Amino acid sequence: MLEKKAVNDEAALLARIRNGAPDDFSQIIQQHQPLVFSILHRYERDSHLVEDMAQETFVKAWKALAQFDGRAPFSHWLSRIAVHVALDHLRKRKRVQNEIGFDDLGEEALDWLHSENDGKEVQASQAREILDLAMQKLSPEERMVLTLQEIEGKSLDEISKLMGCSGVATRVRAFRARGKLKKALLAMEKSGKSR
Amino acid sequence: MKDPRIEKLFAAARQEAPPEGPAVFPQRVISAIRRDAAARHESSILDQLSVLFPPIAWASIIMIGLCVGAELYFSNTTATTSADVTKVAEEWLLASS
Repeated sequence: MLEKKAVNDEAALLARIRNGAPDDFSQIIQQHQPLVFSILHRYERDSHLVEDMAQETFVKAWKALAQFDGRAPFSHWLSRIAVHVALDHLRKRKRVQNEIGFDDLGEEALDWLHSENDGKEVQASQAREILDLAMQKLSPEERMVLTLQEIEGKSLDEISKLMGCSGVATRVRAFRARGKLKKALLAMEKSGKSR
Repeated sequence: MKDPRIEKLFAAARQEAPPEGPAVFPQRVISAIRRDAAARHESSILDQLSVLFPPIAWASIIMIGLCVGAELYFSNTTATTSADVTKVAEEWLLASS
């Protein structure tokens, strides 16, 4: 009941914005800011860049607001925009970025990577460093699929809708991405042990 | 790397808290939207010329047409200036001699 009321309130707010009350859009931003930041920070560690990407997401949403038909919740529509902003960011970064090596990993992350002990716990930030490094071997699309599936916990169907691609393409990408990641992590482990 | 270790990495990465973003973030976005809208409204001199070009072109064509028409009309109905000068010269200058 409360959820339905919230949806109606949001629909009314969006209608008001479309009818020429742009300042009310800041309410929408406030409501959805955590969602957008939580999607984007998976693909960029620099918080300033995450903020820039979040701003780009909301500006794009504002420009395309007339295209939002209200059939799906606004948060789904906004998530799709955020995912595409992140994908563009990964593509740009892939073009300009040089290979990042072990030197960019923190000492604790390196320790975990090279430890023989399977039971050793890994901190969130260390896991993120290791995954970021290994995922450089993946294409932006493969990285996106794997992140959405394994870290965000989305189903393949949800990922297809978010990325705007077929279910088969998503499944193939997920399978390929997992294989590439495993290979990259294995190479990192071996390379560390041979040092 | 063994699968359980990879799963451990994913599980740990899931725990990472996202940045909250500054409190002024909504205002920043609204300012960016306003800047973007203002930039779209500002048109360059070339844009203004491209808007003005069709009426200017049509006005020029009409003016040229009017001039050509007037020239043709008057050349058929009245004598030319040189013919007038010759006639005056014959009547006055030659007559006096």
